[in-house]
Amino acid sequence: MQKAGHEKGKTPVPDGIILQRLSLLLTWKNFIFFYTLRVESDVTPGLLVSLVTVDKGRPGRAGRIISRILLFGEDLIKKPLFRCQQCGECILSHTAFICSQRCPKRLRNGPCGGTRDGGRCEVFPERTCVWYAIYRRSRLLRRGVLLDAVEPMHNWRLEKSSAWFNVFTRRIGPPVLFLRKQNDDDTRGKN
Amino acid sequence: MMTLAEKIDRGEFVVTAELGPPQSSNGDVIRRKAAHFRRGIDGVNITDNQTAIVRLSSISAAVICRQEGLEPIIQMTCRDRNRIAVQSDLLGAAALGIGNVLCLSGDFTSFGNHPEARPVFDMDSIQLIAAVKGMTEGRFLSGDPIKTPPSFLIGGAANPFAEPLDARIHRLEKKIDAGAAFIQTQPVFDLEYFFRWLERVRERDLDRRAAIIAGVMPVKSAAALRYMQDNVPGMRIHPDVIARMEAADHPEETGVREAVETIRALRRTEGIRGVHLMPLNWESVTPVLLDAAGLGGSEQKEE
Repeated sequence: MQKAGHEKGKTPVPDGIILQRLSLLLTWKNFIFFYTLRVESDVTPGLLVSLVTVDKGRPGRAGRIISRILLFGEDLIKKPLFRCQQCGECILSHTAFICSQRCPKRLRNGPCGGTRDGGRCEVFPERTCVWYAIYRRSRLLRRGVLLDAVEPMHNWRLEKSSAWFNVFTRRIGPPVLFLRKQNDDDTRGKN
Repeated sequence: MMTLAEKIDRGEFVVTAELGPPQSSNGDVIRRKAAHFRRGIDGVNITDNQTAIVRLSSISAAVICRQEGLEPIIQMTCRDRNRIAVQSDLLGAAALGIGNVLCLSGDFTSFGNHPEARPVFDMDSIQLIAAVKGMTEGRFLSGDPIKTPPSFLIGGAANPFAEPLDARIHRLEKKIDAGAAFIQTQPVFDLEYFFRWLERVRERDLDRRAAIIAGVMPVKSAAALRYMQDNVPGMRIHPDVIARMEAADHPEETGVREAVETIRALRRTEGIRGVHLMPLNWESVTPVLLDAAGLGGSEQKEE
């Protein structure tokens, strides 16, 4: 995942301009414009980044408002579907769309040594080990290569924040939805 | 005497042993246990609040072992420390002359005597191995440089018996990539299954990149085996072993014989670079085991 820093994004923007851009963003056409820009190209000029002004890793006022709105929408989708734990550093797409943070130890790099027979959790024997499920489904969906990379330590400052917002502001990498592209470039080297 | 790191480097067969510190401030317990590890043991592996039960700290026990002339390996778990505490403890351990660290995720708090405690798990064992490696290379997790970097032989754990096997091999490879120089396994009670795992390990050439040290546990009775099978997650015990223990007139002797046979079988196996003895509260059996297995260590000189 690209983690290119955005120098431009870090220059503070006056609040008035932020609100102006915010109103611009709120028309749905513009939202789609921003969204496609973000998803399609890796050299996004970072419009959203400058809009929300992430300064020293903390969003400004406008950023916090957008973040809260996005978090609300994210919860509506991710909570019922994936039992999202709001880690703010979403790796759902790497783990075959099973939330790894349901693991009692919140492991991000595979199962601990205690998985019981039949793939049950060591802490709660009545549950299936999430990592057991992830490996099983990854194989089924042929997404096993996504488990090769070592996930870095969790950034606890992102806890309880919106992962979508964090993707937009480039604090975390984008999700890997389609694997074909990923296969072309070497996944192993990307940690 | 050669250190553990040197022995592993040279490709010699190493023997390590596990020592559980007491649930009290009595350091003599450690000295008493350590006395059984004087001969033939290359490293004493000291547990870190094993099964989440409060015990004398691993680093303190390691210092006592050093005073007794043994080479300690400290276990470091992610259960009780965040990244600040982990790094601070590692610096302290290095300053006290401890040169080996086994990085583990740790048993969950609910298994121990303080189930209400907050489990930390700021990182997992792979990230911990990478962190220790980074520290030995002179940088903190923050990226800041360390003026005097610690020097550690880094180890990781592997459980050949837990499902799914794919994930086990995958994680082992990640640990070795992250910087683990030796890999310690869960106790082997099912050689067949263990060799199946080892085959997969050898396929990926992992046994050459890190020293695989297989766990061996002498047990006193069939009841102990059955208890472990039912209560220790990720444990696999071959039914024949339990049957043999049950049929035995002197279960302790049979337990020793089983362990010795396991050690012999492991020693003959390509890709196994040592054994790790886990005589839980039965440390006195260690010299007996080593003599019977032919690992008494005539080359080991008392100094």
